[in-house]
Amino acid sequence: MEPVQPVQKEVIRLEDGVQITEGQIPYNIQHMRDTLQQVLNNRSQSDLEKRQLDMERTVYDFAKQRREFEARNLKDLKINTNLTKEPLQQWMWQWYKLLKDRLAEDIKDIKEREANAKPDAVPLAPFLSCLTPDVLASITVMEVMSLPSSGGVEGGMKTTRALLDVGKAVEAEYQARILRRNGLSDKANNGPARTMSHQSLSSLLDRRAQREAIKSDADKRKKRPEVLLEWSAPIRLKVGAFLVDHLVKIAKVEASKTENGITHTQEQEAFYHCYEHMRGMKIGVIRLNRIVAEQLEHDPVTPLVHPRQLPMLVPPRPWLDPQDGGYLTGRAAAMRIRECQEQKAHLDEASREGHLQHVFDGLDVLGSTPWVVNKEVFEVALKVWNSGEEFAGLPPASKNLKAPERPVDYDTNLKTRTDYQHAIRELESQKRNNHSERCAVNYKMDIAHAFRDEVMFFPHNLDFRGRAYPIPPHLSHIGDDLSRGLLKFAERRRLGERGLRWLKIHLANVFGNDKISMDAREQFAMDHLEDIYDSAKNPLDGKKWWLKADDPWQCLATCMELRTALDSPNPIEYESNLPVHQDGTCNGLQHYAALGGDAVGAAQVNLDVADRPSDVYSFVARMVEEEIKKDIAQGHADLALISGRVSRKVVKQTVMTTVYGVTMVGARAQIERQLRDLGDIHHEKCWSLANYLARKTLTCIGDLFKGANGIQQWLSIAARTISRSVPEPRTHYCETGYSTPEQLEAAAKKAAAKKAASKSSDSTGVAKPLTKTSETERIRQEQMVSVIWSTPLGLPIVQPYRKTTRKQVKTNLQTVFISDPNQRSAVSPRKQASAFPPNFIHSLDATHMLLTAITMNKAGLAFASVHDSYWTHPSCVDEMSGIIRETFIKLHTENILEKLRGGFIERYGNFKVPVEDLLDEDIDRVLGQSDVPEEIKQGIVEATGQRGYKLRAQHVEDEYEGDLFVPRPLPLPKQAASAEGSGAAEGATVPPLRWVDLKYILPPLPERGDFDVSRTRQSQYFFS
Amino acid sequence: MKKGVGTSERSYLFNPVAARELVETYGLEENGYPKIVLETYPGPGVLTRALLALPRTTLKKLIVCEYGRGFHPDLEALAAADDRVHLVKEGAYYWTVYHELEEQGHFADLPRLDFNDGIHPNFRMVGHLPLNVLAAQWLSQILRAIADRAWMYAYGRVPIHLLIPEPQWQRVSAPPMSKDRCKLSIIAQANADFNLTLPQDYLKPYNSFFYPRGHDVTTKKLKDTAVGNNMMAVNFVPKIDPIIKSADSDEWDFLTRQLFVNKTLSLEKSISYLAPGASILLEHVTDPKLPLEAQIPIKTPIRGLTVEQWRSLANAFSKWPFKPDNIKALTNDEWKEIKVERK
Repeated sequence: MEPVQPVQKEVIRLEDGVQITEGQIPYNIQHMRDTLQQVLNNRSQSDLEKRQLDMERTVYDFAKQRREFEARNLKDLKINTNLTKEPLQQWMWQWYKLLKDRLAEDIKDIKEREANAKPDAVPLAPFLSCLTPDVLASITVMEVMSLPSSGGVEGGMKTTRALLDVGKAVEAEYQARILRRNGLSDKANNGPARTMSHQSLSSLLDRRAQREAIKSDADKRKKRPEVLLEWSAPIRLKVGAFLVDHLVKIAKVEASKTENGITHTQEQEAFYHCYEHMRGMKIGVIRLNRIVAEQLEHDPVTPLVHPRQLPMLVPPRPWLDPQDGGYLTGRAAAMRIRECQEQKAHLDEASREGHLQHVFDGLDVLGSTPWVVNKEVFEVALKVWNSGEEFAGLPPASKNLKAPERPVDYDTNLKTRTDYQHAIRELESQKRNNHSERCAVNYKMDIAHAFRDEVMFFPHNLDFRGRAYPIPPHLSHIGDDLSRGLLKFAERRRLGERGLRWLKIHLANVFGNDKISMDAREQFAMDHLEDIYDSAKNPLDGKKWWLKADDPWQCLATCMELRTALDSPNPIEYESNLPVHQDGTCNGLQHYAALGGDAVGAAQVNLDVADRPSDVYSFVARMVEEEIKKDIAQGHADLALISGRVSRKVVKQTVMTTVYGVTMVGARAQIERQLRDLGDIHHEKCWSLANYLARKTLTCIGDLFKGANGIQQWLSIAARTISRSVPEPRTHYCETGYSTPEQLEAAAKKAAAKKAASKSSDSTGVAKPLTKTSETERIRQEQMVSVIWSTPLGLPIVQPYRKTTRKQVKTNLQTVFISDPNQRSAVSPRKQASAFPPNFIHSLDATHMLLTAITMNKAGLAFASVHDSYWTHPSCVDEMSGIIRETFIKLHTENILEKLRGGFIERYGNFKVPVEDLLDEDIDRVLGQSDVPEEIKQGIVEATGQRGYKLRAQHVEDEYEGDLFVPRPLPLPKQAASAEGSGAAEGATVPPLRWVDLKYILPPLPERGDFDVSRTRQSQYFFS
Repeated sequence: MKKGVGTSERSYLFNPVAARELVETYGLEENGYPKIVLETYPGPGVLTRALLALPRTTLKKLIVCEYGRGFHPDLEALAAADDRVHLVKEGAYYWTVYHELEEQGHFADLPRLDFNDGIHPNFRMVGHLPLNVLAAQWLSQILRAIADRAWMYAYGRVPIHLLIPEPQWQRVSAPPMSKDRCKLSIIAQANADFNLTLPQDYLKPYNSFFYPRGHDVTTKKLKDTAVGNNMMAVNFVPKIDPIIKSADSDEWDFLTRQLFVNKTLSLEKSISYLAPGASILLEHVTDPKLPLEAQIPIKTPIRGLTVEQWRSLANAFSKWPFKPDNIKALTNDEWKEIKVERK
């Protein structure tokens, strides 16, 4: 097989005064190829696990070796070395050497200095001594060089980002080394984990027993806690700043320039620190010397391809706890959590209690699916790639873009000057984009090339809502069309009658013909047999029918599979390994419809039995059309412009995003875009028509999914209420500024004593709050409760949205503001409320997927998934369809919402919500609820009457002009004396109500419609 | 007056007596030539009316640029009553406005004069400056354009009479070491002569002269963009020989922008923000062969540099072989039009 032609960038260099343009392999690509070369080199070795371990063994050591090797080469070839040829590696090597020595000295200094420092100062030396100076230097150079042009800084990087990244890299390397040293990961070599290959997965109970065995084994050795301590952000920053500051100081390059025949040379810093204005803020940046930037411009050193970014050669280690599983070495994360300690704590707790067994089972199953490279498709892709042409979604090797001409009146006409600069910038960014797209494909091609004869595995982990993703980012089945086309199951299964049919249906699906009945799809494949054969046989020289498909590479793979099957002596006996997909139709809405029991809605998203697949988008479009006709009849003549033109396309995005809580503004923007594409509607009209259509579309979806709508609102109200609550003990602090009554009493005594002693008028004798904050401010600070729930599989989920509090950290380079995850900070109620409905639905679809994965494994079937697209062998689709439906029904017959509400009441029921945070609609609702005690209603009315609780009628009038409203009379506040018996007898007034228990405010669940989820069992098109 | 789109963050003169007095200070009648006047951000048109009181022999044509839809009925009425008025319903912020006016032939009979030929006899700009950041940017850009003889200065030294918010005036006129000293001060002082046409306190208190009303008594310092800031009547006249030369106006942009990031820091320390190796420039600006006023003690804080000293810094920088040659990219948002105004 011919090698993958790597991305080349054009370099112009002078040789004997002649300009020579030649291609050069960018450093990052070259580097990854070297890493991959290891995979190839070791192929002779039969012990896969040993090979995997070798591959994972420290990437930095390897990077260092490589640079040493290169530098030696450079030295040997000194005479012939053309300095302009590969200066980047040479510089990096020089800086590395200088930095290594300098760090060794300075760290020694720091150690001595800190030995005599005050004991309370946070020392830096212990962290800098974690790794040897040469490793530190290597990490610093590599990390800093991989950052440029990230984060919107041209030819440079944001200081904060650079410091944090270097700090994190040091920490990660240290952790990995500790793990290795303690032999924790190597135990995979001889421990029980070894026996858990994918063949023995069938018994989950066995797995669980094994998992426990491994865990207790690890506990016995007690080697884990040390490793798991994480560095705080300020520590990372300071370590990063120390290293980067040194690099900035020592890294020099020689600049030379010829002007008017005179050559100037100057030694200059390779990096310099300065500030840039961005959106009105001054941002500290580290810029590259122009010379370095030019080298890097078309040749970015992207982060090293860590073995973490490659598929595994052996099945991933089973997940033992949230930090242990997946790759053989290093620390892992079963959940990708960004800066949310709370989520980590809940996850660990759940893991200790044994609640995560099912989730881990699911992840293990996903990770244990063996894959191979689809060599036939790879060969075609390789040919296309090496030709450098733009083809089937592959970016071209070089894009022919013409630079705009500099206008003649550039100097005097401010308008043309602006336009010209704009065009130049646009051109530059297009070039950059093409190059980075090309690099991304290069990664995939190279990985596929290296793994072409291997069986590989993708370890999976979860995002914070529980959705599973493969960890390797470049090549995996969750990637783009090309990645999916390049992968096949390793295991083959006999097609059988049904499998052949599913293969044909799959072809229609990937071609884009998925809105017709199953029989019609099968017929579609039969009708195009000639095209299919031609595509499979002459993919590049034939009629290229496969290019017309929605997903061309997957279509090509299917064509090839189908042809091989049909050409085999007995197609039914053919053993296929092509994954066939079954996709949910608008999966979010399916879950909503099932939760709400909407009969009409359920039918539209194929939960109900039908002989043809329904299309919810067309249905909504038709509903909107009906509304328009009605309004035209009522005299809105201007709507005639759009009557009969509201197609599926116009409303599709809005319908799809309702699940994710699209707002009126968002929906309007989506529809406006569609109307503009129609082309003949004046842009001033577009806005008002889009406004009208968006409102109608949202109302129609609301009508269609009545139950879903009610649930969405309920979820959002619940989240809003929770994020406004304060747990009991802290209410005292809110009111008084002191955490406990004892503290308050002590302070009051002190104040009284002070007054008695001084007798001056400025001592009031009343304890002042410790901080200068008002009660309202204190309440805002104390609202720190985020929405937490458990999925039906027992996975706890914490919404991470908080108001960012930024902490100032002084470092060697500059003062940096960072958000500190360990700092307690108030939640962001708006974000908590608006994100909860979509997050909750995602946690349900994730649960459905994991349940399906586990069941599939029990049934001995191969399984892979991309969220709501489920994959298996063609012959197993029927079985999988059954399982998908069964798990869906099982999931939705478990009273999910009751359990959610119950969980909320249990967790937050006695938390206190400040009365001032109640919205008028909350008050209306609580007053109308029969299960709320009368005195609480009374208290609310009194407390909010003072602030001028507006009647709902007035409130709503602003929104719906002209609607007639009859204000509902409020119950009159009763006299305090008559309400209270003995306590009020002495004339003491009852203090106004300040807090209401959350359990009284949390609304009851909306009523469920009468759709029976078990009907889904017979629905042919539920997933198809 | 009806509130409408495009009326926020703006103040307008509403006192007709003050408007007449203000127009007198413009000296439009002085040399007896008939003039074309371009008025920016007129709002309801009180200043416009005062201008229209001038005879045809003085005011030949009045071009009015106003994007606020709420003001259009009033201005249209003015245009209907007086054929000298031409209304452009667009913000003065857009360069296209001037381009289109040129295309339509409004400036066809204006002579194109050299800066040495004195103040342009037939053309003036007058108007209000809004309070928002876009307007501040616009002011900075039209002052900078003097160096390039770009924009309206292609016709010669065109004086500009503007009512600008006091914070802007303080920035424009800030002397060395003032806390208001900034990039705008340097560009304004290098390119133009300017003065107040009415005494500093003449248009105070704000509420007697301007609309919308501001707070009567405020103890807090107003935000720079808040309605209620005093307005100052300022004349800007381009210098015959602007200190910033067209050839190195980009360098000035870059220098002032980068160094004013930390304006209390000494030149010695902040010079490294410019480019790698930039500290070599210090040798040039301390050269004893330079005239005394152009030499810079390296401990001088950035805000303490005089325009002369900035000139010697710019000279040294322009000559430096290793100055960054992508200066434009480094100051990339300078000429970007921001599509906010057109709502």
